[in-house]
Amino acid sequence: MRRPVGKGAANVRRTMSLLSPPPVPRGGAQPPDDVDDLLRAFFKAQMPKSWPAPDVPASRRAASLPVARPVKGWPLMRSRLAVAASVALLVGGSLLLAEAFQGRPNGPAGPTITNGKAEALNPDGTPKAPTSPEIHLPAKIKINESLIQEPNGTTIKVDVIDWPTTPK
Amino acid sequence: MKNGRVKSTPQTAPTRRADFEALYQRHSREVWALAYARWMNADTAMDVAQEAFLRLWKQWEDGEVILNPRAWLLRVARNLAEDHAKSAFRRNGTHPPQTMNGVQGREPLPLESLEREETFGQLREVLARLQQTDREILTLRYALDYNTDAIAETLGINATAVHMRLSRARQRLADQLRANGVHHAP
Repeated sequence: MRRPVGKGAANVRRTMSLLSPPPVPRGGAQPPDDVDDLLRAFFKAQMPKSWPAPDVPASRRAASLPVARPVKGWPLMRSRLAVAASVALLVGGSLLLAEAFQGRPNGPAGPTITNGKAEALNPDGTPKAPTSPEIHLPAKIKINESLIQEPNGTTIKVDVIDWPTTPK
Repeated sequence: MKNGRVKSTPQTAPTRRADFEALYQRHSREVWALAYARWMNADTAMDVAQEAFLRLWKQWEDGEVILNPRAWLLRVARNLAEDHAKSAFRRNGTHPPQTMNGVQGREPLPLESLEREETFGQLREVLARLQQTDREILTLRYALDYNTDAIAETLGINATAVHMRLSRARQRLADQLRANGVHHAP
């Protein structure tokens, strides 16, 4: 705290205490001038010393990235044609595939086993003899599928049995 | 027209920039003062003021005409200052941003500066405890040296209300300074 160094009027005024009776110009409730001085000094210290320039981009157009403009004319037509051709190709391809499979007889029912361990068995359980390349497909077959759970694994058993055609 | 804004006729870029800079020179200090009254932090207040002016510029770039730019700026600055309260909580957690204000630098200060800083620190605490309306009116009066009419215009109240509020704010401040043991101006 600053202490008065003399008894002059200037010194007394400079160090006026807030506890001392304030000057009462009117109403008797005015705080002393020291509050004004204190507030002025405080806010003066708080205000930026040099006021900065406005922080504004030079120009929005210059600052922003170039935006792709909508294309007109031939490039637009070309992309539309490409889309139309793709759709036509898709539809045509699916129609051709459907026609290709239309006249073909259905194959034997049941799963095709390609695992090396799978083997065809006779009804008595003996393995079937290897067939010749020309396979005679019976008119009807019966397939028994079974799933066997064992402690050392799971076995899929498929029994394919010739279904004898009943003579009329 | 929506919220006092209308679309403008095209204005040349140099004219717009000149108008903007004139507006900045006229009103940036009072925009700063209102933000300062909310946060008691000069840097935050400057950020808020700059952001408010940047938004005004963007509005102009979009071709909007703001009929009363000063009122618009003050309103935007108040809103930005309030928004800052929410983001400040995220940054500072439960510690108010004023926590760091009292941290002293390592370099020793001369005795007078120390005394001054101590008094200002106490004043800052007392100001922070006042109502925001009190701080606004005190900031406009003592930071910008605004007279009653200018304060009334800025805050949108009449001169009598300014007198009353200012007198009460000073009285409350003086009472609290006394209670804090601040007896002398630095």
